[in-house]
Amino acid sequence: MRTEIAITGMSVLSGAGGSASALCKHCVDGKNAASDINIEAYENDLVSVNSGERELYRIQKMLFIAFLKASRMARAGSEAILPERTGICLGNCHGLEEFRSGFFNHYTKSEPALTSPALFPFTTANALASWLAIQTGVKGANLTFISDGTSSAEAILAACDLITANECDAVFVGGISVLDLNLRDEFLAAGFRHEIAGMLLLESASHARSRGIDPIAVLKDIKNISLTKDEMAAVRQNGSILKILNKTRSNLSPDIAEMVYLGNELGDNGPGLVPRDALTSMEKLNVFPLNAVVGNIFDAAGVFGAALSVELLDRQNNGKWCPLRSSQEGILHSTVNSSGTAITMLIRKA
Amino acid sequence: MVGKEAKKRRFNIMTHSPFKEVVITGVGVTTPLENGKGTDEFWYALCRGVNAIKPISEPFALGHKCAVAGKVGDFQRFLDASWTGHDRCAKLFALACQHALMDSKVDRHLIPNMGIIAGTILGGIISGEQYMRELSKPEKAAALLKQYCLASTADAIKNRYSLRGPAGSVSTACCSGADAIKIAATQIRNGRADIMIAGGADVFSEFAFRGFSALNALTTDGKVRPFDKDRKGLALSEGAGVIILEEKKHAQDRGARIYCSLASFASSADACHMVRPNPDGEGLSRSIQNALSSIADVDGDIDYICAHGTGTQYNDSMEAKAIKRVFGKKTSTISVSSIKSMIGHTLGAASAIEAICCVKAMEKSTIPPTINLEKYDPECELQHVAKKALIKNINMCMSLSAGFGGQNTALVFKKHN
Repeated sequence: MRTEIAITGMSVLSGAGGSASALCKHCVDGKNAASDINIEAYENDLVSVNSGERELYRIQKMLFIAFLKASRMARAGSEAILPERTGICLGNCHGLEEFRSGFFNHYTKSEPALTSPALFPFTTANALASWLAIQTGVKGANLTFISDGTSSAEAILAACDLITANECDAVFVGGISVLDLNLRDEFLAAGFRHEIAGMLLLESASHARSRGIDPIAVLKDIKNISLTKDEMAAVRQNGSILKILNKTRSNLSPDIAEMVYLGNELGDNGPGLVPRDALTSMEKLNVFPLNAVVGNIFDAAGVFGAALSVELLDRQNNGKWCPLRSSQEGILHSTVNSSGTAITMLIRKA
Repeated sequence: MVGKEAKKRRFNIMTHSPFKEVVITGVGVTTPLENGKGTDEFWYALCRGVNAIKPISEPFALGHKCAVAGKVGDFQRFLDASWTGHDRCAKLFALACQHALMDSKVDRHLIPNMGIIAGTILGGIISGEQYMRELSKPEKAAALLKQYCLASTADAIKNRYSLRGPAGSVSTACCSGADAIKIAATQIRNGRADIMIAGGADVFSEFAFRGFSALNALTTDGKVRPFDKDRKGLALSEGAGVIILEEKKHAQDRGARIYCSLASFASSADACHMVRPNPDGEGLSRSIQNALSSIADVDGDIDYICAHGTGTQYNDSMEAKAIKRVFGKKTSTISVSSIKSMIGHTLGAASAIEAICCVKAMEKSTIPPTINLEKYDPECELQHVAKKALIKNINMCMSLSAGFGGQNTALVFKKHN
């Protein structure tokens, strides 16, 4: 990747609070953040979009708040960010399950003439990203990724490509995971614990600096690869992807710190969630096992892992305890879904 | 950086950059027109103006104003037994992929190096509907849930062929197939892969039928009449379209037959309405303009547009406006047709199948017609190819798609010299 891609805005909403640092503190303190997001705290922010004929759905509120926070951090309201050259890339494979099952339940009980179309537009995965574009006037490329655990990581990769090709100057990249009550057992079995929404604003480092914004972090060396079954087994056993990458695809320092998300399918049994043990293993291996600490956050893993990586790098820089040992190369953030798609990226402080 | 400066910079990046050139070396379809028999059969039927939209007898269609759809006949006989147990959507894609790989003549030892990007709107929705009906039977639920997952099509292909390249699944309404092609091409341009499988698939389902019917989007006179004054709506259909994209030198080194190059692409959002397109075509025109502005050969003209052309009032007039907005007086030199008049709207597969239509049109110097176009709508005044195919040399052509939520994508194909 020739263009240096910067993160200039970042937000994570979870039960721990409204920022990546709040959730990071929860994680490293070994606290359980598995509770609902306090949406009510953001009612003032939602006034501008929540004034239509009906109340916004919860998932819309989560996404919009995440967008607002990231955009404010990056001062994205400036004239230098043009709506036609700003894109949205979203990871959203499972977020609208409730709408699909809701529409299904409705039409199976309704006569054709009495079937309401109200829910139908929200049954397609791209509905959320499209809705966000309508609310914000963002008119560039609008892409939704549906690859389960690697969804928002693929969104990050696509955003970087859009910026590198000069199709966009800036891209809002989001990931969102919510619990569908109809699939509650399947979500919980797979290790889901939190509802979570995350958003990054990516732009070229030069574009950010030209409008007076210092990048928070930079992304480098993003790869999209498919692991073989043996490689998957090795990654699951070790909790680390670094050795597998260095065998055939990379030449990274063996000491580099890792942020690793290992996905499993909806309905499959997820890994046991024992934060204390996970924290101990982190220091030995220099690996932060995202699932073990946070739970299975499916589509949000890519964005959340990136945000958490930035927070951990901040901790290192500020002399606070960090479960990962520092490295000049930054943190290798990897998301792997249950079918072996792996998106990896290096995240460094700018 | 705005307007002209941005265009100039993008043009310079595309022409003078280390981005690699992407060519098409294989195509494959599964549609109601040829029922899985292969792309040649599909193409010949398309050029003869065969109508694959037929009356349907599904119980769920009773009581609706629309009683037609496009359905793929017995295509599973062309697939091997390993595809048993997969959702219909994955099987449609698998057969199109099989045809595309055979067409590209990729050596078997090269296949694991490939990657895949698949587009879909509803994916394994038939398994999903069954899952929702059988929630009380947990022993069946797990398998159905896996097939229902939107990513199951790409995952199935990846596992079947042991692919090790980049992989992903995208869902951008009716632009899904085109965006999958665009994202796959980007992997090659950026050096992450030499060869990629890309395309889209969707099935005909009660879920989609009930949804589009509730929106009053379905045709009520049994026909799909894109750009016609009396057009009454779209007909749902199902299918898959798969393209093999390859880095040009890689294709040349292995002696591959190169159909054409994927010269450029661009996407945009209307940011207007959750269902209807921006009526003045502003969003789609931006995609067209952005795609054109990055083509190396700026002296070349678009000879043919394979339109989105769904047959709805909103889409067709919007699309005509978008084309005229960009091309102005040159509009009269560009032939336009919509193959949805023959195969219906295959949802996430549509833009991939229409991309293949562009590739074949360029290869055969023939433009398939828009059938059922009898009274031209004055609001949709374009150079229509109506009723029968047109023989025309095509150096450059474009496939357009527009979807729910205001998605727009334009792909541009150029003849390979």
